Amino acid sequence: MIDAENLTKKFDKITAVDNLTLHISEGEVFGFLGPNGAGKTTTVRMLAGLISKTSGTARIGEYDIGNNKDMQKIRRMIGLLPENVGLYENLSAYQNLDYYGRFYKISKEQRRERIEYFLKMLGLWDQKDLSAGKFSKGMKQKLAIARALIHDPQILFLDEPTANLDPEAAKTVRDFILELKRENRTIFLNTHLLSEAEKLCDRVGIIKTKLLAVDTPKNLTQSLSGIKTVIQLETINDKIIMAVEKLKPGEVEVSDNKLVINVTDPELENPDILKAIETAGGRVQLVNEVTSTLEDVYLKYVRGE
Amino acid sequence: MDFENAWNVVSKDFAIFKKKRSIIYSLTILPAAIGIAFPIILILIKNLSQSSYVALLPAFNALLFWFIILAAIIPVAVASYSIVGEKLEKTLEPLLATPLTDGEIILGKTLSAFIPSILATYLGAAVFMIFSDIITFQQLGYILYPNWTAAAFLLVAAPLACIFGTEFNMLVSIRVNDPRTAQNYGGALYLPLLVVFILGEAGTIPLDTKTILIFSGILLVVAIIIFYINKSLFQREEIITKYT
Repeated sequence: MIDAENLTKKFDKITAVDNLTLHISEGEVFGFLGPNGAGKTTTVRMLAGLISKTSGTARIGEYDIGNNKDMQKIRRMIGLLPENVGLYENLSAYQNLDYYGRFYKISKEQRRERIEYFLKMLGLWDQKDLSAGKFSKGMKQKLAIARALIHDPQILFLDEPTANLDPEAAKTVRDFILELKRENRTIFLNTHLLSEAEKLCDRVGIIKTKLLAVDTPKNLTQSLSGIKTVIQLETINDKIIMAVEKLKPGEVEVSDNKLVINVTDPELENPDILKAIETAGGRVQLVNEVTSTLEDVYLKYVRGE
Repeated sequence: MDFENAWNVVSKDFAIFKKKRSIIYSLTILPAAIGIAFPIILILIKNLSQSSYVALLPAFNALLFWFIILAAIIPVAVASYSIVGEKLEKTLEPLLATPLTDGEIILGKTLSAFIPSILATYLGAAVFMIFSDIITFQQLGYILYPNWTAAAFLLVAAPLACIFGTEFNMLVSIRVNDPRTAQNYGGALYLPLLVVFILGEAGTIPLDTKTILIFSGILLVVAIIIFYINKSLFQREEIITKYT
């Protein structure tokens, strides 16, 4: 659905996006993670046809970014929620949505239906005649999402959709994104909230001008240091440690009464480890599985650790 | 160019004007005041004989020229804010992501400033002509307006001056990022029109129908040139990266 090959954007001598190669499938929610200035917004703007690319290629569906004729078709396929919501504050919520709906040649009746559907879904229907300027930040964000969806786009670009929102409003927006995911829309989500990416995204990409990593959140976390089994014992002694190290040489750490063991397949390996501990006279109190978090992965790539 | 899209921009701007009535008042107050003030000034010239009134008749047309100047000045407020306003309110990025083209945006914004400005000019001119006719009917027994010179002034020159003023102010609006700067630059365009008025009053050029039509032709050409300049200056990328 979205394909980029060596996509590059330079502003004078500064490279904002460097040789980005990416494929996003239809119906996929793709999270783009990176610090401020990493090139997330620039990428979205290039893919949405708002700014030109310096080099490389990119396609939305079957249409080429950078080809003027294709750009008109691309603009009909995509919905954009920019970082600054950019609502007309003197117009009502209904008027804001209706204005955008008209650019896509949606009939008046259809516009009315869609506006009602989205405003009701986002809990804004009762405020439909209220000026957008009187809305809270969360309400504005929801209204801007509805605006991006008014023409029923296949692809949605969301640039920091929950930035500056209170936890309740952020949850409403996230729930709405999950609802959109169920509708099989392709969603390109820029965020610096790792928990958000973990909850919403099928795959995430970590960018810092260059694309540093791209995979599912699970694979990324496992790729960092695999899975660890943490076993808490009543007491620990050398016999127990040696018994476990015999099974997993060089993979065992000891901390207080805990054994932290690197495993690749916990379901297969854990029973043998536990049996070895018990045979060595150990009494197991607790067994836990620990993986690296997305934050660990993010920091590793972004800091270059 | 899809005129429906351009008209959509106009409808949205009109909906905003409707909510912000002060914009409408600011557009109409000056032409209405001038429409009333000019005839009153003539009335205040006391003890004029009938022949003196006849001698004053060219002054009526000269005063009517002010409505051409007004037609160019009135759009300053709206046109200079047209693009700057969208930049300041950060509304351009989502708008530019729609299928709306640059030409449609420029045309829509031009019409949003032109239509209320020319209507305000006509309001002032109508007030002026009604008051003038009352005076000439009382003093000379006939009415002065409508006449062909007034038609050339108001139906040809004034709309073209208004389009010229709108386009010029939009050019400024595209290039700057502050509405005050835009208005200060935009206000400067009244100077060339004032020069024409002064040359007319000094007798260097006659302010008759023929001159006005030639003058209108020049305004039309300049307005078209500025429209295309505006289109080429409306750089999406620059606007997006600098102003959003």
